[in-house]
Amino acid sequence: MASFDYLPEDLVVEIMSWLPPESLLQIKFINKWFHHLFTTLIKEPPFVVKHLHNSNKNLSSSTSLFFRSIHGLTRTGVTHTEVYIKGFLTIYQDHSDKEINFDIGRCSPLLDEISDQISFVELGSHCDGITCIADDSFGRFLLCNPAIGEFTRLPRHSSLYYQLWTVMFGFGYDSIGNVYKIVKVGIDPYLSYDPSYKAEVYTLGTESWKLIKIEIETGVSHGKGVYCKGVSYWLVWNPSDKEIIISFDFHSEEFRRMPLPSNLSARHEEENVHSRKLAVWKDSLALFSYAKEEIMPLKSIELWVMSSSCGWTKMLTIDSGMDFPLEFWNNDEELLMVTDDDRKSLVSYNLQSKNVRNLDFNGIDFFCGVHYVKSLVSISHKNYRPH
Amino acid sequence: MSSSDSERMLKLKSSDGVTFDIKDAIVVTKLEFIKNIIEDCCGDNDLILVPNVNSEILAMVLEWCKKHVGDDIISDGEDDEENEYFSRKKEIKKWDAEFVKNLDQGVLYHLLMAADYLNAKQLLDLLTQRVADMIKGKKSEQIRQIFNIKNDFTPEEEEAIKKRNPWAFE
Repeated sequence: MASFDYLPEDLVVEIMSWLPPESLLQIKFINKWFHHLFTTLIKEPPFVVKHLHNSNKNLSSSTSLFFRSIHGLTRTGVTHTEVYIKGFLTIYQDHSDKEINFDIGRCSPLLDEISDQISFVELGSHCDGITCIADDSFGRFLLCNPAIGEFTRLPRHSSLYYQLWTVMFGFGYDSIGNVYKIVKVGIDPYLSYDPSYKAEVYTLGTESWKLIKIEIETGVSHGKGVYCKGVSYWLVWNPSDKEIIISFDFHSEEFRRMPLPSNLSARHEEENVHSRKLAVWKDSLALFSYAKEEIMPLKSIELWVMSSSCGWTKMLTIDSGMDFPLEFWNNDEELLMVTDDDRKSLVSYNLQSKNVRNLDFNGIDFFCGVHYVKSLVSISHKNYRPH
Repeated sequence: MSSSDSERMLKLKSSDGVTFDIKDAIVVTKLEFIKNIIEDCCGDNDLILVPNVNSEILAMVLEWCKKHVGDDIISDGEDDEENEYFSRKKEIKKWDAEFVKNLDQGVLYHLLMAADYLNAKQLLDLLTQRVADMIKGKKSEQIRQIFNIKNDFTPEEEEAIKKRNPWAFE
């Protein structure tokens, strides 16, 4: 009878390429052969890329990361002083059972390093399992791969513009140049008479930021950008265009403008820009449009999706009574939403069945989320660069 | 290719001498091994030897192929067609889950190796993910037990590696 030991190595590697990072760690401890196999594979770009590809395909790999603040007690525990801790909450569902599971704060010890120094941290979009976090007060960027617990600090932006106020930033992959990049757009707050935007790009592997041309009028990004297929997108407001989407192609390093859907419901148009939000749905750019205060008892959220052939299409309308959409998860079949009043009520809405599930998290305020995939990509060890 | 090719019958002979009659169309898109042999031989010889796979396993592979006939045809038509496509896809997925669910480990490995030998990518993905599912969420001790793998670390060695940074790349 065949046993696991009989399997040829390439089949074992194939099996391992479907395992989430935490399971790969357990494989490492099985015996010496597996230990050696593990340590070899995580350094090899072909395996890391295959694993990432499988993660993207695999239903149970999709998870959402929330950067949240919770009320906690001080360490002495005697006095009840409220403490805000920023951390990650990962929500996931194993495809074989129907329960929603979550892990709280696995990454918070690593975030404590920066979170106590700063008051303002912004979460960026995700690419290949890595999320970019901007510490705007000190002009620092952090690349974080929570699946392997890696946090990489990047050098501060070029000294010429150390005072720049960041209006938008993104992390992405140039698939033709085979390199990861971070883009940042800022304005000099002291030059209020000249609102010219400055853009810089940091290519991983080089040691410095490079100034690039930005020939269009951009604006302040509302909410974080999203990344989809080699391009980052931000929703901005500026006096000329009012609301517009700005995109940045990581290969050509060009900025472009993209209009919002031309027939967004009239009622929604009267609202200010805070009632729109970008997202990625089934590998396409998507837009949520929702009115902040409606007279109607049921609040509705519209989802629009962009395709290269048809432009913007209204995909669906959600009447759920919830205020804000947060993130898609579970293979883009469900949407996490919160109520505005206290930002504590979180539900998961199934797009097909329209079923709503309540999620109870006491004392947690949901700040924002990133829908990410668990990958083995290591910035420090450069295991993503193809041979 | 003439239309009669799609109705062509093939004979597959397993390692233990059992012959299976199967339509060309059912296996040629799923088993690259078969496709290559037909392209290379281009003759009238319809008997294909599969020396690495026994009859029990080959029968299961063929059963899987039959279920998956035409599963990659994407409809781009009416809503009705699309609904049918999605519900069929869902049904096939359910069937696949049942197919792998109660497999004896030994049979699972033989199937894996057969799918690998026959270059059946889709079936291979299904089976490797099944094994991966058996590993997910388990600790190393449990994995060893399930798969009957011997631990050759001494307790001291094991403790030492567990203490180190898990994602040490060196």
